[in-house]
Amino acid sequence: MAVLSTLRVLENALIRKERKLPTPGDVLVAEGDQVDPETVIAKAEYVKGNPYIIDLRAELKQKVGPELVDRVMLKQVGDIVKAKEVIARYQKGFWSEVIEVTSPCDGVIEYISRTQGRIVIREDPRSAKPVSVVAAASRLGINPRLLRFVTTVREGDYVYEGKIIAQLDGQDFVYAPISGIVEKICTLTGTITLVKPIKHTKVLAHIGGRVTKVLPHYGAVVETTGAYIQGVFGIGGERSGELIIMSGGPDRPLDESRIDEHVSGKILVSGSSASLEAVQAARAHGALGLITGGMNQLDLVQLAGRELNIGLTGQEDTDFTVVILEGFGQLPVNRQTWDILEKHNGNIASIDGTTQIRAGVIRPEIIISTSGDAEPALAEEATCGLPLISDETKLAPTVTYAALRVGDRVRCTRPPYFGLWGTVENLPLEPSQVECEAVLEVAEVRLDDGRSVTVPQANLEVFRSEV
Amino acid sequence: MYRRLLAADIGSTTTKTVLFEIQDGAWAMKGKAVSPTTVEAPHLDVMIGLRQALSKLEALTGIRLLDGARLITPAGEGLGVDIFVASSSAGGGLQMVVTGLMKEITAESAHRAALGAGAIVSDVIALDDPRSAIEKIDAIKRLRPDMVLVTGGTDGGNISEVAAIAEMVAMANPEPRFGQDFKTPVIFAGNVEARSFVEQLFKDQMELSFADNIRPMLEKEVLGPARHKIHDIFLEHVMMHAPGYSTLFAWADGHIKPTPVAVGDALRFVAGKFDGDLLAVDVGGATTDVFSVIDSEFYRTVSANLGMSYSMGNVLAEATPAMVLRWLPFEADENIVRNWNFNKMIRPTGLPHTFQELMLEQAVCKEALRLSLEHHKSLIRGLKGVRQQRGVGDIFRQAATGDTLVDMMEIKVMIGTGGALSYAPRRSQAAMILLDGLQPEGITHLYVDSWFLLPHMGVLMDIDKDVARELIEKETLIPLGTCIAPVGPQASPGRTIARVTVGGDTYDVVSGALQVIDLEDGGQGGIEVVPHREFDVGGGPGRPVSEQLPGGVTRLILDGRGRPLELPKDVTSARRTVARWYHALGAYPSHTLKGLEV
Repeated sequence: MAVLSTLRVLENALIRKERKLPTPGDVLVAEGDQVDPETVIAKAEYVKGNPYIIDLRAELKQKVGPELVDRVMLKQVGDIVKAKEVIARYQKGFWSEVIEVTSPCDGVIEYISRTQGRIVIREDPRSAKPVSVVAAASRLGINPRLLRFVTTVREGDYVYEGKIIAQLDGQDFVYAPISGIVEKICTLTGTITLVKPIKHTKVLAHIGGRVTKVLPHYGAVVETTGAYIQGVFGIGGERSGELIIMSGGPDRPLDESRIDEHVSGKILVSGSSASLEAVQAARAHGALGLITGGMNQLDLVQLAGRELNIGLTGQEDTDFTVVILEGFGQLPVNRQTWDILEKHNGNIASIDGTTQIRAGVIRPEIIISTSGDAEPALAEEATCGLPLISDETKLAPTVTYAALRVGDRVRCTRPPYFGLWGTVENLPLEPSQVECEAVLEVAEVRLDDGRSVTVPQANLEVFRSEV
Repeated sequence: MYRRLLAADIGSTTTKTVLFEIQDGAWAMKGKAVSPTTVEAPHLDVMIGLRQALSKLEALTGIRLLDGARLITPAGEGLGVDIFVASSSAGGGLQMVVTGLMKEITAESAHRAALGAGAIVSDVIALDDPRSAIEKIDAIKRLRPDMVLVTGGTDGGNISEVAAIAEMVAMANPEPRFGQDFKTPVIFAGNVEARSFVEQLFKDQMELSFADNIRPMLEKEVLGPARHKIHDIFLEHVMMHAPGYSTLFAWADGHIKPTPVAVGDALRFVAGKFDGDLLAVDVGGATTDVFSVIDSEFYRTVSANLGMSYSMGNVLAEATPAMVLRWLPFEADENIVRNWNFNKMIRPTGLPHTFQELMLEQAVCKEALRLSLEHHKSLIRGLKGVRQQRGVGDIFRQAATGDTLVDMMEIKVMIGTGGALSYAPRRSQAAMILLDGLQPEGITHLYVDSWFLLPHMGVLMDIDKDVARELIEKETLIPLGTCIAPVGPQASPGRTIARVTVGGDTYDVVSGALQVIDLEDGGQGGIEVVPHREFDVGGGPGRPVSEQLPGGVTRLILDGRGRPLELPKDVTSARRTVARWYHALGAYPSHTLKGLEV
């Protein structure tokens, strides 16, 4: 049994990408807008919606058990609350003072621990305020001037929510309600001011095309027609730039003599391999990425800055994306893939090196838009019958087996014929002994170089072309 | 009574079927067939893969097994089976989250209980781990375990903190992976006095059941009841909702177990036959399972990122390329090892064709075993933070609190299984992998389960122990030899460190050397090993040991290489050394070791 190649290599496809923010923000495009890869689809400036912790023991100044929590709470898990809204009320006796506990923010009650007397409110990021002022002296019942004697933090410290920021005699504690930086410890007011860092986030179009649908507060769907190619492994995230062919052919390595300032802002295309030195030189000249047939795994590790042990990539701290098309080592690019890339030499390509090799296989991809400024009506006609590539296409089955047939076009995936293409000529019924003495199902293959060889079927990748 | 038995193991990647038949009064394997497992999309039904495998089995054996989509029972002339048993780890197996109060006390015990029940433990959550309550709740929600084990508190002890950890699980209320119309099971195996509170917490939300406290006292760990409860609930709740399993249950008439549980049951039986401990390894594509039976207690660990296909990249990263290169008797550099390794990772179904490839693969397997054994030893250890209760039987063997319970000198049997071991073209290669990867000490009998029959035997044992015993002895465990590895101080090469007498002949165990003695009569009469006074083979330094050899053992492996194994620092010398060892064992043909001093 051989393995069916499920890599998509399409000269022309309808490509649909959903471009979304991770949190609500502002969408900057409208349906029908023409976009290019660098167009900002949506952006958000927000303070991360941290959880606020309210310690009922501190608020009520006494031990708190499950029954008391049930008695004092006016809200339940899942309730939406507003800043300053009363969420718990306690009165010990008829003549006693009524203690009201209010929400420090707009948000939703996420967790109430009856055993520990804690309430967690998840802040609504849209209304999150960057500043939180904690009345520490009042909480501990001390003179504000004595605050610095009881604080456990200093100005400039970064604290995580829940961290103790002041304590008295090891018995009474003040917790940081948010994560942030200690901006000020004020001995006049007896307060500790925490400031949350503001995060800016945006999502780009990544591909050139047309906005076909707006996703309110989050982003949009962008569609285009063009070429779509998947690789086997990559590093680095989304990048776009002009393609530039840097090899003499699919079986030639990257031509280092051509690396100069002209590669700045471009995505390089190499044939069978690219050396680390060449790639680093290209990076130094401002190249954005590399598409190559093969590459040494050690070189890729150097570029990624970390070991790639579990085959999960895309989050590397790198400004350079690599898409490997065929495998590790020196491997010629598939002819069909090379022809597409060569045809688009000088065009803008969008690449993404994100890879996951199992538990939901994700393949690195290359998209070259060709729909340009075509009128929407014309574009619709042209897309009829094209294979659809959506966000789900990146996901692939882990392994798809295929029963070999005489005449199948195959590629060898293990030594000694690794990377060589051929055609199946015969399929012996009985297993045969191969060089290492294993007895395996084999196929007789006529390689493109003319040799007739016997290869274990498990070491053949079958290509059955689609559009 | 029975004429024909059918067994199936539905793994994550492949479904394996085996047919046994009684011939001339003795049970024998009639045939076996493998097909890809079909639990995931687009098939979403394990029975498709199983029927495909059975069709192949029919073609191979000439026995008709299927009538349309139905299994033919009982057995008749040329058709049908009397019994069908199944084991499974498909759909990712049983994925659990375990919780406890203290990371190194109840949480660790909970971890052991879940592993012993055949689970993959996705997370271990303890009250004293550094994550906040919200992070722990988010973790449980995100992981969507099939089952949660909640533990904590000795009986009569802490309730409030046990309640706090249970509360987090209740808050998370994870959605089940399969079957949206049932509740995720949760087992409470903590302080019995917290049961009523826990019941209040989980009612209407999760499917709660109780098991005996896994730490009723700090000094006592009781894992059996929790393991059984996990197993029962797995079968009843989780597997029944996985695609195609209800039909599988009906076919097997309930005789179905999670694969690691079935393997554990078979191994306990095997360990009972030998007077000593047992170690078994199953090297898979993504994970390596290590099983041990120590003082009749069964233990299992799963090294989740050490395996021979998807996890090869991690084996290389954890072991380092230099540790893999040291096993190769040919010139190779780091690039060769890394490229080969990662090409296997992205195309995991390929098989070695050349000898160099085979050697590379087996070198990586040795490192996967070495790392997995370290992981196993680190997890299987004496209870931490308690005063040891010593009985008379404990005097000679008592791990200090927190020390590993795995004593390689006490391991009498080592069994290997998994593709790289079971399908090694020569048995001597499988022996070499176990010797170099696991480094047995003293006198150890080595076996390989070539057809991965242990899980089948583990299920069959519940139906007919005698048939299972016969098949284990005859078909399952292929003997690789008995290893005699004296342990002592580093000795100069060529020095005799022990003498072995078998069948009236005496042989020297030589420092730095590996030697194979083929036994014509299977070693009847047993062996006597007399170590040098500084060396130990199980009886203490300098003390002789006599043993009967198990039936079927036809070779002795005299391993004088020392423990831990060390190779010369000089690369060329190291290559020559491993080439000599491989040549001594007959692991590879001489022509593949040519040019080196052999």
